[in-house]
Amino acid sequence: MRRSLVAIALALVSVLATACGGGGGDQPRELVISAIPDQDPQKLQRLYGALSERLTRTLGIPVRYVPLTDYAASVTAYRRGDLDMVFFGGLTGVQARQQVPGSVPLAQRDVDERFRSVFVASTASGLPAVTDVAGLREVGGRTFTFGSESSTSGRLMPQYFLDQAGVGPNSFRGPSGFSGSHDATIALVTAGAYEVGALNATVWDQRLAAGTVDLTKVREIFRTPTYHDYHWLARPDIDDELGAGTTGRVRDALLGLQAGDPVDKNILDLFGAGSFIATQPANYDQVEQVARSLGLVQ
Amino acid sequence: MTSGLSGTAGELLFAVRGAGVRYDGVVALEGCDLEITAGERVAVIGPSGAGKSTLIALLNGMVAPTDGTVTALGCDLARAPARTARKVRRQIGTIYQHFDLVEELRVVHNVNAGRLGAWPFWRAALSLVRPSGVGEVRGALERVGIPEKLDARTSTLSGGQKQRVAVAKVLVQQPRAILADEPIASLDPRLGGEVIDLLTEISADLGTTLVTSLHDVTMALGRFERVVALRAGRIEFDRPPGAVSSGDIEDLYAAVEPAS
Amino acid sequence: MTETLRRQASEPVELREAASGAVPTASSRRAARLWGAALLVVVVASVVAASWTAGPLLRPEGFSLVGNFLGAALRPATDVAFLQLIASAAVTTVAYAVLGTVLSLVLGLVGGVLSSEVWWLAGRHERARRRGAAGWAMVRGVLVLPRAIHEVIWGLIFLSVLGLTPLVAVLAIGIPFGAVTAKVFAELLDETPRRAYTAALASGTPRLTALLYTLMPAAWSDLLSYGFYRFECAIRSAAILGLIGAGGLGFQLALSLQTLNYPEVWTALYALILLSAATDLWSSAVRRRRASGAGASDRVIGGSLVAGAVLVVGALWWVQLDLAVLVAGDTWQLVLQILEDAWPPGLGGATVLGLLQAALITVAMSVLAIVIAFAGASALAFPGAAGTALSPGRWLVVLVTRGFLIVLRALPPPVWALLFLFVMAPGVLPGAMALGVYTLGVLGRLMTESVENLDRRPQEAMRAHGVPRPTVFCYAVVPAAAPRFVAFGLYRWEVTIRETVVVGVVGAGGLGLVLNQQLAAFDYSAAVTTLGVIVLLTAMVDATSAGVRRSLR
Repeated sequence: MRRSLVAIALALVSVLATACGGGGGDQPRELVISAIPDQDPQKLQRLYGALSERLTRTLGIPVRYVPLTDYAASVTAYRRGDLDMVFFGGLTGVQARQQVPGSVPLAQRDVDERFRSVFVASTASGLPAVTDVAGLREVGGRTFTFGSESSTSGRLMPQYFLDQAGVGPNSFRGPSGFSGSHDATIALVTAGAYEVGALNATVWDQRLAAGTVDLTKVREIFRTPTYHDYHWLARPDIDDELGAGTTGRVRDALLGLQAGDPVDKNILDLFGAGSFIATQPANYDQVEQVARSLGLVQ
Repeated sequence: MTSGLSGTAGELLFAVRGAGVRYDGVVALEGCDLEITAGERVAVIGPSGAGKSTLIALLNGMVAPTDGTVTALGCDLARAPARTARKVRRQIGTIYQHFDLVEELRVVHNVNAGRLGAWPFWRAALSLVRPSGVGEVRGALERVGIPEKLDARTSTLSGGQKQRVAVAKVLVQQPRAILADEPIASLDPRLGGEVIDLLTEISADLGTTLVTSLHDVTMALGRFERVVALRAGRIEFDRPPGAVSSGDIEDLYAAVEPAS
Repeated sequence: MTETLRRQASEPVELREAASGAVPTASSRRAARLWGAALLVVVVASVVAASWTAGPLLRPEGFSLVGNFLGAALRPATDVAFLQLIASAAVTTVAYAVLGTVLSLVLGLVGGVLSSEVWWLAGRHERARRRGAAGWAMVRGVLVLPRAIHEVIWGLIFLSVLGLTPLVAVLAIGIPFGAVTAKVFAELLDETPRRAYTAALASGTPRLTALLYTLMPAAWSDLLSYGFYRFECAIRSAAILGLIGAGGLGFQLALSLQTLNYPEVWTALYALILLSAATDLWSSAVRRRRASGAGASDRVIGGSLVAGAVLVVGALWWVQLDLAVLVAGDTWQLVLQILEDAWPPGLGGATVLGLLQAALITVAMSVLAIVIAFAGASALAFPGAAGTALSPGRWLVVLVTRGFLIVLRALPPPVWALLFLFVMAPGVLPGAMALGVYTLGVLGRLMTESVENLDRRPQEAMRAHGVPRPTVFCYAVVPAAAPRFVAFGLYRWEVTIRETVVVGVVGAGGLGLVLNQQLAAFDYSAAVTTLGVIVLLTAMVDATSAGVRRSLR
């Protein structure tokens, strides 16, 4: 008993010694990346090895992927410089760019160029499909749920279009809910907990195709105009840290992923993308304006 | 009133002058004057609620007088800086009716608890893992007659054994004065007699002053050289046992009119 | 009036001790009645506040969705890749829980001593006593802050200072839990009989040494069983790991929940349930041995010590804890930057009236939750408690009750909230149900243990006199258990206030929702105001709980 305690104490001392002294200053600098996808996030967050290996191979520098779930956490880590490049949503990308001025949007998915949200309503609510944004005024006085607080397609843009139709945050019956995810929104409207909800149109289409939606209980009532959503955002200091031209090479690596190549196809599938395409800061001006008007960007 | 009636003339250890104690306006003691010198063996008697425990607590400074002053070994414990008070208290060992041992600890630690005041914290902490000064502890336990209980868990001891551990604890403390607050009230008469004998023997052998509050008047008159009687918070008399009459005792324990 | 009673009426706590267990005084009975009336008013007001719902209270058609979830319990995801993922997530979760618990116990030990009444007041007079009272109040006040703030918020704060490093998660678990442990430990110390402690002070022992020798040994068992409880909480709260990309069961569960992949959710839940049950079993084995007076030489206790040490070393190795980040050059600069961002506190989009309303909603939700939890847990604590010499039938009842409680607390509040929303109208009620059912699982465990720890002698004495069982239960068991039940209930009420932050899905509003919005907008100065209100609520609950406990003593 005594001897085993001594052995454990020794082990503890040696582990602590490495913990204090470790820090590892000599390790080669890696490119640290992350992503907060909102459709089927578990795929990417569990199988990210494919992406980091592919990028490591193309770029010749070690690439490490950090699986984060929390929007605020990823923006904070990005601001600190702990993350070099992140696949942000439209809103979080704007917020991150504001906190790290000079950040560069590198690439977006093909679908992000023409992103949409859908409003879905329970059939029991009796709400008819509406044809234009103004028609959303019907949602006033109903119970309503968004998705996650920081989601562009599940919260920001729906709130914006509702605003346009004259439906403010206090115009629902009771406070709005935040279901936490697009699938939860579908489930809660199906259950009738909320009469109306808004979510990412891609997720809705996928669930329809998969046949998991009970169309006798929930149906689409409106599809919003398009906006730009997800994109890869890189810190401005990558070139200084990892060598001149790194930003460009990372962008080329992303844009160069080919749907015809099985490895690349696998990665693109994890993102729900056909390909990555070029983008530019101006694409997010609309999102930024909306975020500003709703107080989500200072 | 006080006087140097006791046989041993010596240094003044305790001086209580005009002391009173009130708890939220309820009087526990008032107008007490008392001097105790080195080497004396004093019994404090009186009915329940007379203030015996409060008097003992005044002597070791655990209760501060609301009026008057109390000095122990020349120090006003209630007002002295913590460090000074602690030094003085190391010279005073107290034994309580309920033994006040830690049931969960082994006997050796409870005995050692008597001299923790003289140890730095790290030594005290280490001693809980590997007892230090075991020789002296064994000696003290031999003196009180239970050397075999050194490693026993205290909760497994009988009442009489526990009070012996409490005495051993005071022995390793090597104080100049031993205070005992009803040390035998929870014991049967035979055991109680043994514990009092032990205390008076130790006091005689080592020249330690002994102040004991007692319910048992016979014990007080038979084994002490000075008897202080309390009644309703006041000192009723203070004399050698030979000068205490049975009438004094009857008066002392007669029903008290409910006080304020 | 006897001397002891006269003492009890008044000051020196060390003398009041002499009368412990004495008859309650008239004034304390009056205080207890007053507190009872006040709490009743709060409960009724909360029920009224919660009775507003958007739409009918119950929607039977939603049960099929709940059924989908429950049905998946029978077919959890079992493909090899996913099981491997969950296994490694479980190891990560345990590793962080071990380190977080160790930190919280160390902090709790120090903070507990420093926030106990006995440390500051016992054996002191006059000036020193007044100084002590001031010191005590200050430490108690300071400790409210870490307790009031949810560990996820702590995680974000540490993340912005220390970056993506394992230490963030350890601190985020360890610091709030440490403050809670400190509170509980201080109360344990204050309720431990004080005579031996004052006797040690009377012989000139320094306070710290006296505490170590006299109060610690008596409080040790309780602290030990509390440590196990804390460990189980840490396992469940390891959702924080998602903040630093460390993975873990909470992270995997949250991911699967986002797409409502119930079979995967259940696999993660089963892992959590297994870990909770293992902790429960380990804890009761150790407690049983200690109760029978076994020391470090006992096989179970000695083995547990070794196992605990191995777990700590293994955890340090697994998470690769890097302490150097604490002294990294820019750490303090970042702390300053955060303070700058957050100061002065503002309102953001909120209004004072809005905050007040949100605070009332939070209080109503927490009150209802704790009422539900308290009622359920009090009822289940007795069947769940294993006594001596059990019949096989009784064992079955114990196991089923314990298992039920474990399942209740293994499902995180957001999952409960979703399930209740399937069948209930949005509002305060489903939120209160979600928190209440979860808290029931936690309280049930605490209460079961306290029933097991009751002194059996009074019951046995009554039974020996031929008193029928139900009467023994009413006259000996309930009165002995009630004060601890109330104490646990009040303690969990405080936690529930903090937990309302995580059930935003129910569409009830409340401070949690306001805070999440402000964090989503990175409006730190507004978030500070909201956190301030939560801290204030926590302090009020703390004061109420202290008052109620004092009136029951």
